[in-house]
Amino acid sequence: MRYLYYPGCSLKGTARDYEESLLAVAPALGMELQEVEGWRCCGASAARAKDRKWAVSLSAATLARTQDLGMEILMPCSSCYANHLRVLTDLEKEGGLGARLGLARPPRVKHLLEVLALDLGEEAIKERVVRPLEGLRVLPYYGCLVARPFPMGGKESLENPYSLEKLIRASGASPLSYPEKLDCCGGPLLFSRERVALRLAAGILREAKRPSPDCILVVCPLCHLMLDAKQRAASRESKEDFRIPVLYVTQLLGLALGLSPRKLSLHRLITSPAPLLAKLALGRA
Amino acid sequence: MPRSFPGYGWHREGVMSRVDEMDQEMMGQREGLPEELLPAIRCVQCGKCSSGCPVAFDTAHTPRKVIRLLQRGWLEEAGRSPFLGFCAQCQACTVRCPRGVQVSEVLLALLRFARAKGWVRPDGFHRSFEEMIRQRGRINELRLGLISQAGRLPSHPLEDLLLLVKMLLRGKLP
Repeated sequence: MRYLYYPGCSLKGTARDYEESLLAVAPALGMELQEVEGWRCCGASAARAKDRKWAVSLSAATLARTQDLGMEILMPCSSCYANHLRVLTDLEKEGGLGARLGLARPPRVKHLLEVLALDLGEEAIKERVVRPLEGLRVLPYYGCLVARPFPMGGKESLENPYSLEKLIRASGASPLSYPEKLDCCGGPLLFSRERVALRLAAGILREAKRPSPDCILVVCPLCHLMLDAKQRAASRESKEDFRIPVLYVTQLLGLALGLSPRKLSLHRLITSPAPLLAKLALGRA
Repeated sequence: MPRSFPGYGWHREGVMSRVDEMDQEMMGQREGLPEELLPAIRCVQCGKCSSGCPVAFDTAHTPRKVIRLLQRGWLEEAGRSPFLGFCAQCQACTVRCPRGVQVSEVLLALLRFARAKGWVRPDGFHRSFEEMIRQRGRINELRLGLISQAGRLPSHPLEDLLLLVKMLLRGKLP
């Protein structure tokens, strides 16, 4: 399967482990990725707070660039995904908007999780697994924008999605029940209301600690930043000890597909994944 | 649900239809409200948005209250509500509203309106984000973090410094 690949700003910066693990895992799953040339920032939450037309034009610029290729666009970042999908939904609602934005043949936009869980599917991934992660207890954490406000793939549940659990099962690990899986990580507030953001992240980590998981699994660079990089600050803010490794979905699948921890960039995680790797007898990252 | 369920018929045919009538009346009355804020009129103040809101307990206002201010036509009070600066756009309220009000869209539109009126000023984070998109088309997270934090002490300076060093060592910063 071939997809156009829109990395977004984070995957070229703080989330380069997400990009590296994705590019390592894609060929192992029979996926071919072609990076969108000259892609631009989607505007995240800041552009929308300033001017709606401007925010729409940012996402539309990238979409217009790719419309002649006739390929679906894969986005690993939940915020980029929701922003581009919002423009496409607006196009459907407002006739004439497409022409104004130069979008005659708008391409389809899909989140990485959607491609893995719905397009590829649990069974197809299971067939390629060479190192089942048996006995590993994994917490699925979706965050907000991959699940809301647009149901993933038009059919996934808004309040209780199950795609991530399916991928965890495909890797041979056990998905744990996690009622907070759709709670907000506080990421958008990190630079404006830091304490509130850290309290939200701490709440998620606190509940995550209860079933004593081996790791939390995320699909968004901002969720990862809050739960992994900011874990120590959240710990200080709430005066609790967490120390839970937080992995990207691509890193967990990569381990099950037999790729080395180094190739999956596990050495770039801020919260050490050592206990997890020890359990899998994989040594150091 | 069976028709004999106490209150059910009353609820369906009494209150809901009366609400829809009120809807129509209020829509007519509220022509002063900017178009993007009009959906607020449909709200019946059930509070479902606020009970599921992750930041409502950190501020004086809740989404329900802001919507209520809009319904009363108190635009400036709504636009100056402290809640707007706390909303993380998590979309929980939007998908849960039984009246189909896209609450986070309304709140965001209100924020834009309040900024245009000069009631609230964008903070350093938003200003540097906008500038960076205009100038480069993409975001540099390190620069964004440093610029938006400039001039104020982070709440956990030691942790932040340690994180900066760790991120540099792990190659996560350019």
